[in-house]
Amino acid sequence: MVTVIQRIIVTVIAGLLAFTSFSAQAKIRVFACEPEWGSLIEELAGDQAKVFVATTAQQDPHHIEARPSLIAKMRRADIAVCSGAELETGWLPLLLRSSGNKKVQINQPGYFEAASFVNRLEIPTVIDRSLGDIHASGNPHVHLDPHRLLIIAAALSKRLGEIDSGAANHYQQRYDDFSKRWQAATEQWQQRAASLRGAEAIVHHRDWSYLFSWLGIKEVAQLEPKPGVPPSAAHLAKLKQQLANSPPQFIIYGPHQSAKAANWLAKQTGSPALQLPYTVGGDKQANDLFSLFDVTLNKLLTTIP
Amino acid sequence: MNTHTLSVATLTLATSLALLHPAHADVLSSPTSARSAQTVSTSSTNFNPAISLILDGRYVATNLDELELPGFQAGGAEPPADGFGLGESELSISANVDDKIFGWFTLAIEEEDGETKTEIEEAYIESLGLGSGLTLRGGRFYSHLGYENPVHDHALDFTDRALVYSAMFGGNLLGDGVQARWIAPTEFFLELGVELTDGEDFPGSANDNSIGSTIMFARTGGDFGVSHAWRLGTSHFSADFDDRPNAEQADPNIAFSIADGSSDIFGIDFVYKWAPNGNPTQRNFKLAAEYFLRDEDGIATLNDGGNTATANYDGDQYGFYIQALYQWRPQWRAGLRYDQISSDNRLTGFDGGATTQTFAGLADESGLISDEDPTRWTASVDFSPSEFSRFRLQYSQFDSGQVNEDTLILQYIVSLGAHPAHSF
Repeated sequence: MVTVIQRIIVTVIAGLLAFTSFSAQAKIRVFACEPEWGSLIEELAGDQAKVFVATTAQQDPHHIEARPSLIAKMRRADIAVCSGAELETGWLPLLLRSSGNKKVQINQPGYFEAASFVNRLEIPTVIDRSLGDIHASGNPHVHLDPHRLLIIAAALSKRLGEIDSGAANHYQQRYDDFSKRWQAATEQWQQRAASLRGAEAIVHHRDWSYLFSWLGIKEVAQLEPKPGVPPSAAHLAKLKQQLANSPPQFIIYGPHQSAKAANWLAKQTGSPALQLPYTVGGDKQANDLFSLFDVTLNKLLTTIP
Repeated sequence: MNTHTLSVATLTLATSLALLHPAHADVLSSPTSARSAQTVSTSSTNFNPAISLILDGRYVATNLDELELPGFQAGGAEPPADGFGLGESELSISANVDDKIFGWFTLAIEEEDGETKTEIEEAYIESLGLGSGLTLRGGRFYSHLGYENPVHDHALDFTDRALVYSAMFGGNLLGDGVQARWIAPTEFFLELGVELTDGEDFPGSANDNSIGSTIMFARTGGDFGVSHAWRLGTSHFSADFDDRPNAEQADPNIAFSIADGSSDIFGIDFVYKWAPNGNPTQRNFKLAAEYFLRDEDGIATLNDGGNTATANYDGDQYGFYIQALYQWRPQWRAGLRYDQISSDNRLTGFDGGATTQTFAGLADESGLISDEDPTRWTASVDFSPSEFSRFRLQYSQFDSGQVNEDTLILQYIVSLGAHPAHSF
């Protein structure tokens, strides 16, 4: 009996090990917390990386369950690429601790926090929970400014070269190529978006601060009474009154937010409610970083031609 | 690497039981270069540990002053006390100690019978990214057995723990000892774990063993599409004890305990979660169920004025709960839970010794012989203004076969300070 059990155990373990060894190819395994970083890795690493994107555009990156499937992916990752600035504070630390993976721990090169490489907006001077769910490190939604994105891309490319030094040239070449295409695209976007400068917007949550700071759009209010607190009837009524004389150009919400509040206020004020993709996959056409910005600008420009 | 050398290598490894260091054919060696200098830490706590204080207050309307569970030795679980009162105030402090170790401490402060009682619920250190999917923990900690057991009181889906936990673990199981967990390097989630602890906590008890209890668990889980996630686990607990007295003695002059005993528990736990597009902020649903089977033996001992009467105790018990929670709009959630426990215990070989006790007297005092299957229904509605606060209204109907009582609870739970993430 014992020998049979031993044999079964040995067979199972041998199979398991063989399986994992075979599947470990020359590629690096990337755990991307959000779709924008998954796309950036695809730009920078191409076939050299096997990318797992932990969340979709339809999910709120503040509120993700530390699901078993995510722990399994983190366990095998060579690098975790996340926004940082406490965006993933409700789930990422748990994944890192549960994974037992040395490479992706906070003090290791396999841990990449995009927001830590750029200047952040809205760093609070007063930190108190009565102000809502605020981030002490500032606004973490950094990817919608193409200039900041390029800085992050440079840092990420360098990091990929560190953890996979054999392919460092490959990453450098891909970054150079990406950088050229990205700068040309940024130039174009800026020209197209010139008419948006000075426009006023209401946002559901402050997901768009970096986009607005780049395009010169002014954020006048949020649908959430406090960051992370769902829109309330009282707050919306106050907004309606406040905006009666000067309705903003658009009311913006993302694919993981309910359209209800935006639509209600749009009806009351006459300002159009606009769902922007926010990240890759947030719109059918937004399937990489380039099309994400294309679609975002197209949508904004429908209201201000 | 060709197939042959690979399989030989893995077999050799496997047979030498190097389970925890699978042969990674990683092309990447660990980099030695430090992190880029321009990296700015975005940690909010700097060098201060994360401090979290949970406040729990409630108003309870009940006639239940103790949780008598026929067929189960009293393990110390108590029902919420009638009237206004505080639940556990829970102070947790945690931080990375250095680059290798994480530390966690939880102190529970509770009022019981007019006295303030503090208890170290958890105080452990844990390895940080040891590698190979391995995590080691040492100190005092909530056992990772089952689904509900490691969950702190404030994070429970209902005000109180499931009946099967009250019956079999006297609330929940903790211990002083060590734990090893390993995540398999597979596409799907597979975790194996073992805990060696002092075994002093019920259903263990005082013992002279260097390792009082052994706990093993295995769990797997995954996603179905983007909206569904699940986890299935199994666990096993075993402990030997020298003497396990009743947590509550019905008659102060007569002491009942189980001596020279052992307790074995086998459990299965399942959790399923649904959220449209995997986005739980608007609507979500959770289903959790656990089943435990306990096999015990020992010598039922009644100490009556210095003399003892004994009988051989052979206990077979099981219990389960199933609960569902539905958040139908942001901040609002409703829950329903069904609990049942059942026992089939035997007392044989009665020896009255120098006492005047009869077998019936011992059986009655032990509370272990019962044909009843205690059940409980619980319904709740909660409102959470933010992630840091919750108000809950809970109604439950408990039927032990001997006692039938309703309990209504209005409760608040708030979290001050850094609030750590909750597990799945």
